[in-house]
Amino acid sequence: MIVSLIRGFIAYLLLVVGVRLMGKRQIGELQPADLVITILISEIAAIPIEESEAPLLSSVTNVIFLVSIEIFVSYISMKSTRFRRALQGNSVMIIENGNIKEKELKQIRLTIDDLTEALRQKDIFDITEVSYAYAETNGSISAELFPENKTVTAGQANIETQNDGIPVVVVSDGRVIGENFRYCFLDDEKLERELEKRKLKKSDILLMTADRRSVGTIVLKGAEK
Amino acid sequence: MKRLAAAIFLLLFAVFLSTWGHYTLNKTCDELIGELTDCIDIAETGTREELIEKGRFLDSWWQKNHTVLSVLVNHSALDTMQSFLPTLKDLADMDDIEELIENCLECINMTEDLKMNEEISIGNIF
Repeated sequence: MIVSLIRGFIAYLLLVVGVRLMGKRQIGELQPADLVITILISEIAAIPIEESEAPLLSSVTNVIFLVSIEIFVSYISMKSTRFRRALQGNSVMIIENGNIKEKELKQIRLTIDDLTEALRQKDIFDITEVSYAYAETNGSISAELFPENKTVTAGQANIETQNDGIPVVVVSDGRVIGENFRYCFLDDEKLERELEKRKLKKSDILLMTADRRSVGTIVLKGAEK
Repeated sequence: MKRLAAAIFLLLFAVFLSTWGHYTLNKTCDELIGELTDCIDIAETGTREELIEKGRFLDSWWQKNHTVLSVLVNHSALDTMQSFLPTLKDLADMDDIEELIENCLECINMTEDLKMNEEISIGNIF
């Protein structure tokens, strides 16, 4: 039993390191090759946990080999369009200028129900609002609305806005995240001043965000009480 | 580039591990087959003391090499050898030559099976 636990832990470490090395592609939406490799290495890593008589080295070697192959394949995909197309396929236009392309839908074996469901997941409940839609290589649908159905932007309404940058977390669970200071107006001194102004201590703060202009959200610990 | 370098390193490491495993298994199996064949020869033509000495040698050889083999092959494939080799010297001591030779031959067959299963061949791949 203890041997099984140790093997399980080794397999877990191996998979975490392997997925980390392979990069965010494995965690985000998967391309076919990414899906295959993720399933494969999980199954191979599980073998020595399920069968205590199977040698661990065989699984370890296979996982290491597959991780390295995956990194090579993704590198070649990046450099070669032809290779990428051969491996991942092409995106297929399924709605063109508001017209559903039935031939393409049949080609990729996507039913109209699948299409409407995918559009609903994008908060598009009326298919006639869609001007163009693609079935992507990872199986997702991306859609563009007709201009009259799009949400008005500040630019279109001639509303003046200012770019305050992105709000970043500067204090998390009482701990200062110094590496985010470059995205906002704060540094260590300014942070202390802001906290003094509000009569707060770092240790009191669960979450604090800031952007280029000002402090954003402050959530104190124990606030739910 | 760092990831590519890591991939190259991992690939070389995997190739090294599998090559080392293949070579070590073949070498260990060849050694075992050699020792067991010697043991059979001694059982047929040698003295009782030589046979007991060989039995002790095989027992200590197995203690040293068992771990390496169990890292490389399925543990159940080593069960017969695990049960027989440590008792070889006792069989020699009891003069049970017939059973000793029979068990040696069985171990030789199992070891050759192990080797054959690890051969790089179309049959093993498919």
